[in-house]
Amino acid sequence: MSDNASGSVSKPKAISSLAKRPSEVTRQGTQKIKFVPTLPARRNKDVEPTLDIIPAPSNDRGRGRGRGRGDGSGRGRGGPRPPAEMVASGPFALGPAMAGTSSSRRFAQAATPIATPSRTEASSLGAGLSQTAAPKIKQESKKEEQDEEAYSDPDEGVEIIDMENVRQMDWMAPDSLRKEKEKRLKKEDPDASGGLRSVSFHSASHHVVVDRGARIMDAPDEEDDEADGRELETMFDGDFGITNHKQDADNVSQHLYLFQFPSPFPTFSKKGGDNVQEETPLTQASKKVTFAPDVKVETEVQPSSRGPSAPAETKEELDGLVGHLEVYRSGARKIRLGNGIVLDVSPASQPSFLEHAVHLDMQENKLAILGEIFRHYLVAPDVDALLAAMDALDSGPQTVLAGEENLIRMDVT
Amino acid sequence: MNEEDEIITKIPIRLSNRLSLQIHQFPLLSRPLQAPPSAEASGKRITARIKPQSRVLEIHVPVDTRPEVYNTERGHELGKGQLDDDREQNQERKGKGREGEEPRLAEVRLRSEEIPQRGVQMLGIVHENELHLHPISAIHQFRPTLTYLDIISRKNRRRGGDDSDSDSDDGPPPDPDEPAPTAAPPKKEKKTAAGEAKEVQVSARRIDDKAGNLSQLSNARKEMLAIIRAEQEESWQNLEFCGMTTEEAGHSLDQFFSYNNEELHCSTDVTTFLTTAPKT
Repeated sequence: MSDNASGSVSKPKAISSLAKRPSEVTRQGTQKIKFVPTLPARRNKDVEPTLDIIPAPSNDRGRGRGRGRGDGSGRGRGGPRPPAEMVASGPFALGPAMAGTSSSRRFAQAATPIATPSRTEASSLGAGLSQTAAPKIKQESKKEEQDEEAYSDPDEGVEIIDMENVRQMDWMAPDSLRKEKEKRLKKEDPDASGGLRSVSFHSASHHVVVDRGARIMDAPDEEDDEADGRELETMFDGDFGITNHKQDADNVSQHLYLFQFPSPFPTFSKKGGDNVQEETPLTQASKKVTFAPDVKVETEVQPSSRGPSAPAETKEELDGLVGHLEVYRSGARKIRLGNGIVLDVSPASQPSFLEHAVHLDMQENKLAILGEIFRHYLVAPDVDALLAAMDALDSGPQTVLAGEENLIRMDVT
Repeated sequence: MNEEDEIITKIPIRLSNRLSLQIHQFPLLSRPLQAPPSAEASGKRITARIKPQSRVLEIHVPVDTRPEVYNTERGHELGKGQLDDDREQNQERKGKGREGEEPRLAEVRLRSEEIPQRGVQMLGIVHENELHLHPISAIHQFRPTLTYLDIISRKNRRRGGDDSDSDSDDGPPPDPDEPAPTAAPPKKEKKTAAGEAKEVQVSARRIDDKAGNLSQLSNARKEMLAIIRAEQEESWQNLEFCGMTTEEAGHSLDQFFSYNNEELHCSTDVTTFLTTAPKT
C-alpha cells in the first residue's frame, strides 16, 4: 500500500534531536507523531491556525447547525434561510466553507498523501486535511471558554495535535472525548446555592446540572461525548414560557419537541354549534360527506360512522385550539385539555443520535425535512385528576335515592 | 402538588393533522445529515427513494472521496460490487454517470425499518407563543446497508473454493511482510481425497407426529417469505429529498402549523386512558 521504496529516497533535515531512530518510524515508514505533554506553546506553524478564523458562512453549515443553535438569522421558521446571515461562533464554528482550501493544500505527489515517507516533516500526514470540523447536532451550550492548552514550541518535524481538538482537523475527523474530571470540581460551588434556576453551563465538558432540590441527575461519568449534556437537562426553563435569557424567542420557535402521549389520544372534533362553518371544512376534505345541518357532528366523531359514506378517509381534519400548557413556578408543566383532562409533562430520556422530523408527500414524491428533534418529553395523565375522574366514573351515574345519601354503595363488579 | 404552586405562564395548545409526518432516526449518526463539502462541490446531493407498499425508505448520502480519507482502489472494488448488486435486484440507475468510468462506492445507503410506536407521538413546535402539536404517523430507523459486500463475498467464495465458512475473504489485504497464505490449495486436495473414499446414501424423513404444528409453522414462515419477496419485487420510487433549508421544507412547515382559531371539542375523558385497552 505505501511505497516503502520512496521512504529511503529523501533524508530528513539534519536536526539533532530528531535523527531518525528505528523507534520513531512506523512500519510503513512514516514518521511517528510525537505527542508532547501539555506545556505552554503555540501551534505548529505548518498547520493553519484554525481557531482564529471565522469563515464566511455557507449554506451547508447553516443547514446542519441552524436548527439547534439558532444563530439568530432574523427570520423565524417557516421561511427558507437567507444564506449569508449566519455568523459562526464557538469552537466548532469552522464549517465546510474551509473545505475549499484543502484541495489547494494537497501536495503534488504521486503517492497517496496518507503515507508519505518522502516528506520530511511529520506534519505531512495532516496537511492534506481540511482544517474544519463537521458540524454537530443541536448544540445548546455554546458557552465554552476554550481553555486552550498551551504547548511548548514544537520541534521541527513534530506536529502537536491537541486531542481535544482532533474534531477540528477535518470534516471526517472523529469526535474527541472531553475532559470531565477537572470540570466536575468546579461544578460543586455554583450548585451549593441550590436555587431552582441554577442551570450551570460548563465550558468544554458540556455539563448542565439543574438544581431542583436534590441534585438528581448528577452522573457525569456516564455521559460520553455524544450525550452532550442534554441527558442531564431536565425541564429547561428555556422551553415553554420562561424565556431563558440565553436563548432569545427566535431560537425557541425553531425547536422541535417530541411528545409521547399515552394512548389513546383524546379524540377531538370540531364543535357542533356552528354548522355552516362545519360544512365548508368538510367539503374541502376530499372524501367527506356533508351532513344535514341538524346533525350534531361532534357526537359522531368515531370513524365508523363515516365508514359507509367516506371510502378511504377515516382521519378527520383537525385544526384548532385544544387546551393549554401550564408552566408552574416549581418547574412542573401540565397540559390541560378539554373535558378535565390534565396531563403531566416530564422530560423523557434524550437520544444521543440524530432524529429528523420529516414530511412525506406521496402526491408530489417529496421528502421534506422539517428539522432535527430537539428534545423529548413524556406526557402522562396527572394521577390525582385521573383517580378523581375514575371515582366519579364509578359512582357518578347512580342517582341517590332519598334516604340513601349516607350509605355507601356496595361494589358488585 | 403544592397548593401554593402558581402558574407562571399558560401557553395555548393547537392541534392539526394535515400532514403525514414521520420521524426518521439515525441511531449510528451523531452529526447532522449532510453531504460532505467535497461532494457538494462536485454536485452530489442527498437522494432518497421509497417502496411505498413495504414502507421501506432509503436515503443515499454522498461520501467524502478525498484521497486523504478515501481509499480509491477499495472504492472501485466495492463500487463494482454495488453495481452488480443493483443489477441483480433490478435497481440499477439507468443512464447516470459517465459511461466508461469504473464505478466507485460514492454514497452511503441508509435503509429504513419501521419501528412500532409506543403511545401516541406528537411533534410540537412553539410558534408565536403557542404550542402546535401534530401527530406522527410512522417512525423509521435508518442504518447503512452493505449488501454489496454479499455479492463480493459470494464471488470470492466461488473463486476461493472451499474455505466457505470463513468471512475473511474481504479481510485486510495481506501484509507484504508476511508469507502469502497457502492454506487454500491444501484444503482443496484434502476434501477431494475424502470425497473419493466412499459414497453414502442419505435420505431425510420428516417427523410428522406434530402435523398440525408443523403446517402452522410453515404457514408463518410462508407468510414471512411472502412479505420478503413482495418487498424485493416492489420497485423503488424516487423521492425528492428536500433538506431543512430548502423552500419546500419551509412550505411543509407552514402547513404544519394550525391556523384555525376555533376550539376543538374533546369527546373523551381522562378515564379512557385506563378503561380503553391499549392498541398494540
